[in-house]
Amino acid sequence: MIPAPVRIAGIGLVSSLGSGRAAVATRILAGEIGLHPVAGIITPLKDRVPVSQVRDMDVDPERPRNDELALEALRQALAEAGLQPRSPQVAAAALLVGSITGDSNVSETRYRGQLAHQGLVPNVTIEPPAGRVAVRLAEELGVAGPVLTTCSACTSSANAILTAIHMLRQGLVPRAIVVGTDILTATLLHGFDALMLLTPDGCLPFDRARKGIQVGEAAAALILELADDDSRTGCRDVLLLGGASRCDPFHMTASSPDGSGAEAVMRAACEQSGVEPSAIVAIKAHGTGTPDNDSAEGHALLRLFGDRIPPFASIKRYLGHTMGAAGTVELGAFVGCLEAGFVPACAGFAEVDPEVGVTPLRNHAPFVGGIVMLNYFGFGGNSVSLLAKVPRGEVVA
Amino acid sequence: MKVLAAWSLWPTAPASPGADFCAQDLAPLEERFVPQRPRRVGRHARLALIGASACVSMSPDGIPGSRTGIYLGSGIGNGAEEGLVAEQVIGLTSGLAQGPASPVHFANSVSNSATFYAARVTGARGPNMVVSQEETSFEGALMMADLALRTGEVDRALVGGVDEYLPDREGLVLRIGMPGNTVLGEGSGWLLVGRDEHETSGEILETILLAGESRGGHGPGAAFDVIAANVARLRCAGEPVTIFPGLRVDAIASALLASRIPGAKVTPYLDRCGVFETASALAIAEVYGPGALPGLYLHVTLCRLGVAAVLFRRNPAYVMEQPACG
Repeated sequence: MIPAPVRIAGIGLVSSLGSGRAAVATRILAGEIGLHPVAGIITPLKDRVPVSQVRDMDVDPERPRNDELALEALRQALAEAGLQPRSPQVAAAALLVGSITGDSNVSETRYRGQLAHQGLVPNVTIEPPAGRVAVRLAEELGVAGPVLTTCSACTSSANAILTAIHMLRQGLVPRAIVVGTDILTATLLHGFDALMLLTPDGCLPFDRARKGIQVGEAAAALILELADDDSRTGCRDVLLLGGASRCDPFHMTASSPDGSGAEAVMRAACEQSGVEPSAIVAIKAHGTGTPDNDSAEGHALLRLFGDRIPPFASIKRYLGHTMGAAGTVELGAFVGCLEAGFVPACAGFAEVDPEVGVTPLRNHAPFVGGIVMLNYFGFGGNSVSLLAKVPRGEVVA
Repeated sequence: MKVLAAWSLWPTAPASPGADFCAQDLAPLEERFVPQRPRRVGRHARLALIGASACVSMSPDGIPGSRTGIYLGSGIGNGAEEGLVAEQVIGLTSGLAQGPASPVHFANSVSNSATFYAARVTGARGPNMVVSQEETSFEGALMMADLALRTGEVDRALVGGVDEYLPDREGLVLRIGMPGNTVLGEGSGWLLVGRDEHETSGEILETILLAGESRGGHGPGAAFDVIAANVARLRCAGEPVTIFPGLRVDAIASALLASRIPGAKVTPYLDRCGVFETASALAIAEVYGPGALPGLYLHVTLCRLGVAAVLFRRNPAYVMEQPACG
């Protein structure tokens, strides 16, 4: 039996390309990319590595920045769904947060202060992880249902979406609020630098000359309901058909090079959603711009689709790699583009990598409606694939 | 969810009254359960690896790798590794340390490194989740595993609760949000659960997360009413009920809850393992080991958001083969 679809009743998005999915889609359509020098973070990398930061919100190192980003995304999503914070409808919902950075900007500021006064302090305990962000968001919204934070590296909020789908289908809650939020910190920048994964030119997904990731920060919130409830307005016709989550523990920082792990999750997503791969009309690839990820993902697309890979693109050069937030953020931005009538081009791609042999979209393509796939992969072998049905866009590019 | 296997690692008793529980030497357990232990992994991942591997070793038919998920609850996560990376990076960017951050420490500080290693060692290739929701992290992991079993996403699930003791005692107490004189501990508790198996040692009947129930100074009374109603619904005639009071459930709250459940017996356990955010995993896993009595059990935690409860049953007839454990 094909499980019931889940409707996206509201989407909120805060990113390096601005706020709101329609505005972000407009800027993507214009070919803008959110790539700037590091701001507000003390790091010697600031002149060497550009990043995708949210620039229209103040950087206050004393306050949990994830809260600020997430609350703005939630404000947009609730408004679109016609919901008020602290209303009975919101109280009855589940809140699922996908994030990895928690209060780490506050933690870094505090530790830096300690260092100034005491010198190096060993065995530092950093601020609470992302669970505390969820607690504060639940308090702010008045959520009385289950509150859960998933921390599975860069698939964190994609896994939160899947969990929300399960909760709705099992009748655990009438509505789920899903938030993905992550911020840039010095620790993240230098950690990725230590792994030699940062690039001075921004990411070049699937390109032969790709060298690394373009780290970013963003938040996006989704309001999800079972599709058989017809009481809400908003982007009611965007349906989540299902998805799958798998682990491909080839290496802590890399998927199976032959693409078998990524293929498995895409295939499982199709099976669990009752969708034939041939029915998919477009793909949002994960496409980090690292040699390993894009090679494995490209091979996986070939394994699943053969020589009929649907039009696909990574959108990370526009928005950066927003880590645990990527699940909701890239869904929000991609849906925004599809609603505006186009499948976005894979910005940063120029030349096919002959060792992989896949070609993402070089230019924006018209979107006429249909089933799309959204892929997410992360450290630790985490893999998530989602399927959504999106109606025909209003403006054809 | 049917419980197919369970294993728990409790810390060593403190050297003196009021002191924190001591960290166990993990090497003998690794030798037994994780002979091919990955090198250079932190204590959090080692605790998780031992627990997950020991739990799988107790399942007579192993696990169906592609249809098994791992769901790990952890309040602190791999805090020691994260702290180490923060020290290196902030020290470096403040001009007080030399050299870049360690790539190994950074990779191991990633939120799901423990479950990655657990997947590698056990062969579980299904969903690989870490729930980090403070005091309700293990309960959240149970809830996610139950959903995955119900929707058919997995056939079996390894569900763990793991937290490590951190050397920065003051920071740890603050992070958990407990008074400074709290006796702290650490541990690793795991269940292997399935859905349709017949002969099992028991089952997890219900996981209840009630946010907001204790807001506004109202106390947990309304939530306790909900929990008591669930106990009444699930209790067999004459079945004994044992209440495990978890984090922040003091004697008064325990009595308040017990008064709503006729004949219920309150059995504290935090004095055997110290306080940490996933201690509930130890209490629940222990019920499926040798010596526990059949009956209905209830674990309750008071958390920042409200109340978390797990209702579970130990069956009378089945005795699980138990390897030597800590």
